[in-house]
Amino acid sequence: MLNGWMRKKCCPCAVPKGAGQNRLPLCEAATGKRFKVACIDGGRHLCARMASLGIYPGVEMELLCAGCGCPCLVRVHGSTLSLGAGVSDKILVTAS
Amino acid sequence: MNNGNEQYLIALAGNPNCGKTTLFNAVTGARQHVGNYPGITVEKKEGFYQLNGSRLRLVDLPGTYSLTAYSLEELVARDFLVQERPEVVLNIVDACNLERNLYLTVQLLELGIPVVLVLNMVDAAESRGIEIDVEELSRRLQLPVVPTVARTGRGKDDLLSTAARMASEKRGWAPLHISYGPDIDPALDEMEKEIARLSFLTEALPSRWTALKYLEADEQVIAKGRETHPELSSRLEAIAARLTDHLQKTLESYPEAIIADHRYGFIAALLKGGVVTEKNKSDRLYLSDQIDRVLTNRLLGPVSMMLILYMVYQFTFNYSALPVQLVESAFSMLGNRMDALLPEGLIKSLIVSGIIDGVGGVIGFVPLILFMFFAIAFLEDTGYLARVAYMLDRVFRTFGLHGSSVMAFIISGGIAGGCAVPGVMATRTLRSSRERLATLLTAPFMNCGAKIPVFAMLIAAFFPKNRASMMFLLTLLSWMAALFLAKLIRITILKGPSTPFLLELPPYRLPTFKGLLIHTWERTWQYVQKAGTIILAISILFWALMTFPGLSEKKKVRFEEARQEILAGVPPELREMTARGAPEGQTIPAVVADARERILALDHEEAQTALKDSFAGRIGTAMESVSRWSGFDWRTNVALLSGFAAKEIIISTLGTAYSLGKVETGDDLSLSERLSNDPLWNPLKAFAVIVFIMLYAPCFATITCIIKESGAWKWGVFSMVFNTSVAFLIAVLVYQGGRWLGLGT
Repeated sequence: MLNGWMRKKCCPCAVPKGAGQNRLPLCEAATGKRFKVACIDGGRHLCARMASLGIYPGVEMELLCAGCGCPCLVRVHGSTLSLGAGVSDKILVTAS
Repeated sequence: MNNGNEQYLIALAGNPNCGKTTLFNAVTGARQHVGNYPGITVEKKEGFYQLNGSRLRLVDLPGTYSLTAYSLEELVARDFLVQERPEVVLNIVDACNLERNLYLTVQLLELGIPVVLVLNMVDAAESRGIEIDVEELSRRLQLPVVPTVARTGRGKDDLLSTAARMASEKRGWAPLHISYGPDIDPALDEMEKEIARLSFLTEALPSRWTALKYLEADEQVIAKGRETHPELSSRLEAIAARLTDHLQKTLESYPEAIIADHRYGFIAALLKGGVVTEKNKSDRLYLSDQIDRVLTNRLLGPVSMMLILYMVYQFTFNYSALPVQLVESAFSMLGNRMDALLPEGLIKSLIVSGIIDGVGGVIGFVPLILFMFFAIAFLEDTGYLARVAYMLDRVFRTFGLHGSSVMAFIISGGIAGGCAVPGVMATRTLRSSRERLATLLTAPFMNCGAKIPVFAMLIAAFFPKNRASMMFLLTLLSWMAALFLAKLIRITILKGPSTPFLLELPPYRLPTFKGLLIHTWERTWQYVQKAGTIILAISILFWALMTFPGLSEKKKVRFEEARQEILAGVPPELREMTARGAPEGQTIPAVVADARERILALDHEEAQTALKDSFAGRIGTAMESVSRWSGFDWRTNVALLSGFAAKEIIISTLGTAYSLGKVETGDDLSLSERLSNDPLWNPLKAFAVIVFIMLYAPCFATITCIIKESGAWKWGVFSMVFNTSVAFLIAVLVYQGGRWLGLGT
C-alpha cells in the first residue's frame, strides 16, 4: 500500500569513482579495530533504526568481536550493540 | 504554585537500559500497577506519588530509541504522549552515553511536549571521567536538567519537585525547530503551511512534526492523513516523493539519513564548548568489558553460560521445592478437612476434587513461578540475559527462533523437570512477535516436572534396566521435537523473515534488591490473577466430565448387593468391624481382613465402572476406534484426557481405570507392576504413550498462559489441536513402525 518512494533504499551505497575500494561490510571487518561508517546499504526502515541506535554515516565504531561471525558486537558512542546477520552485512565501513 | 489538590500525569520516557524502570521503582515503590496497553503485550506500568498535596500519576513508557513507527514500543510511547498529553515528560538519559540518548530527547522536543531531562547514572559517568555542565546544558536546551542516580535514589526528590512545579505551570506545547539544511527545509516549510492551513491533526501535533513524519514515510501518520484529508495527503506525499527523488539524485541520500544527520549535528553542537568534558578519554577497559571478555568469549562463553543456566535451574527448582510442598500439603490438609466435615455426596466431591484440587493446582505453581521470575529478573537486571541471547542467536536462528528463546525452553523443562507455565511467561523477554509466538508454542514440548513422574512410572514398568539413559533420551527427544517443530511452524503458519537481530548489550550492573522484588512480585501477581479464574473453571469442568452421569441405579444396586454378600459371609459380631474398620490397637481377625480387602477391591471396581460410564470414559471409549492405531485403549485415553487438566493426573486416572483406587504420585509402584503384567501393555506401547504424553496438548494452565501471552484465543486452540495431532502422528509411527519391526509382542 505504500508508494515506491517510501520503500526505496535509504542510501544506495554506490561507490564513488576513485574512492571506496576499501569499503567492506562490518561483518567482514577485523576485530578490535576502529572503523568509520561509510554508508548503510539497507531499506529506509533499517537506516532510521540504525540512526536511532547511533549508527549513521560518519560515526566511528569499534568492532569487539567479528571472528565469531554474526551476530557481531560493536562499541559505538560508549554502548555495546549486537548486530545480527541482515544488519551487520549492510553496514559498510572504512578503516579509520 | 498549586492549590494542593491537583493530579498531574507524568510520563517517563527514555532508551532501553537507561535506568528508567529503576527510577520508576524508586519513586513509586510498591504503589504501582502493571497492566498491558490495550490489545498488545507491551507492559504498561503506572504508579502514584504524593507531593505537597498534589498527586503525581506516573506512567513508565516502554523503552525506545526513537519516536518513529517502526516498533510496537515506539508506537505505544508515541501514541501515549500524543493522546494522553501528559503534563510533563521525564526524559531519562544515560549520562555515560549522552549523544545517543539525546536523539530521543530531540524528537520529544520537536513534538513540543514539556520535558524534564533526567541525567541518570551520573555516578558511573563521573567514574568514567565524564563531566557534564548541568546548568549550561539546561540553559542551552531551555529546560530543567536534574542529575540522578536511580539505584541509590540520589536526586529523586529534586526531580519530583521540579516535575511537579513544571506540571503546575501548565505550559503549552512548544515545538523545537531544528534546521534540516537547504534541501529539506524548503520542502518542510511548504508542507507545514499546507498542514496548518487545513489544520490537519494540529489539535494534537505540531504541523512541522507531521511534515517530518511525511518525509520519513511514517506509515501511521500517512494512513491517518489519507483517511481524513485524502487530497492534502496526496499533495504532501507528492512533495515528499519529489524531495526524496531529488535527494537521491543530488546527494545519493534519503530524507531519514539527512534528518538523522542534522539531529546528531544539533546534539553535537549542544554538547560542544565544555558542556561535556571527558577526562582520560582512553580505550581503557571498564569492568563491564573485562567481564564480557570472559562471559562472551568464544570458548569460555558457552561453558559459563551452561553453568549459569544450570544454576538458575537449580535455584528455581530446588529452593522452590519446600514452599511448593508446603502449599501442596496445606491444600491437601484443607481437602482432608473438608472431606471429614462435609457430608458424603456431590457437593463434597465438587468442593474437594473440583475446587480445592483446582485452586491448589494454580496456587501450587506460585512458589515455582516466584523463584523463576526472581532468577530471570536477576539475569535481566544484571544484563546477562542479553549476552545469552547474543551467544545463542546463531543456533536458534537456524530453527527460526531467537537467541532469547533459550530461557523459555530451559524453564519449560529443557533440563528435565521444569514447568511450561513460567516458561511461556518467560517469552516476554522476546521482542519480535513471530519468534516469540513460535517459542511459546514449542516450549510446552519440553519435559516438565508433571510429565516426569508419568515417564518414571512407565519406565519403571517397561524399561527398568536403563532408567537414566531413557530419561536422557527423552530429554534429547523433546529438544529435537521442539526445535524441529518450531522450524516447521516458522516455515508454514508463521512464515516470514527473521527479524534482524539487534540488541544493545547493557553494561553489567548489580541489580537492586528492591527492583528484583518488584519485578518478581508484579509478574507473579499477574499470573495468580489471570490464570486463577480460568483454571478454576476448567478444573470444575473436568471434575464434572469424570463424575457425571455416574453409575446407573441398576449397577449401583448390584455393587451394593455384592458388598452385602461379602458382609453376610462374615460372622454377625464382626460385621460392624468389617464395615467401619477395627478400633486402634485391636488385632483384626483374618476373616475380617479378607472381607475388607474384597470390599476394597469392589469399591475400586465400582470407581472404575463409574469412570468408564462418565462422560470422559465414554469419550475415551469412543476414541478407541482412532486411538488403536497408536495402541491406546479406553483406559489410556481417559488418562490422557485427564492430562489436559494437569499431566500428573494421568497417573491417578490410570490408577482408577485399572481399579487400583487412588494412586498418589510417588506411590505408583503398584501401578507400574499392574501395567507390566497387563497383556495389553508392552514396552512398545509404553514408548508410544511416553512420546504422546511428551508432545500432546499442553495442560490447561499452560494453554491459559499461551492465550494470555499471545493475546489471542486461536493460539491456545492451535496448540491443543496441533500438538495433539503431531503427538498422535508420531505415536502411530512409533507403534506401527515398532510392530512392523516385530517389536511389542
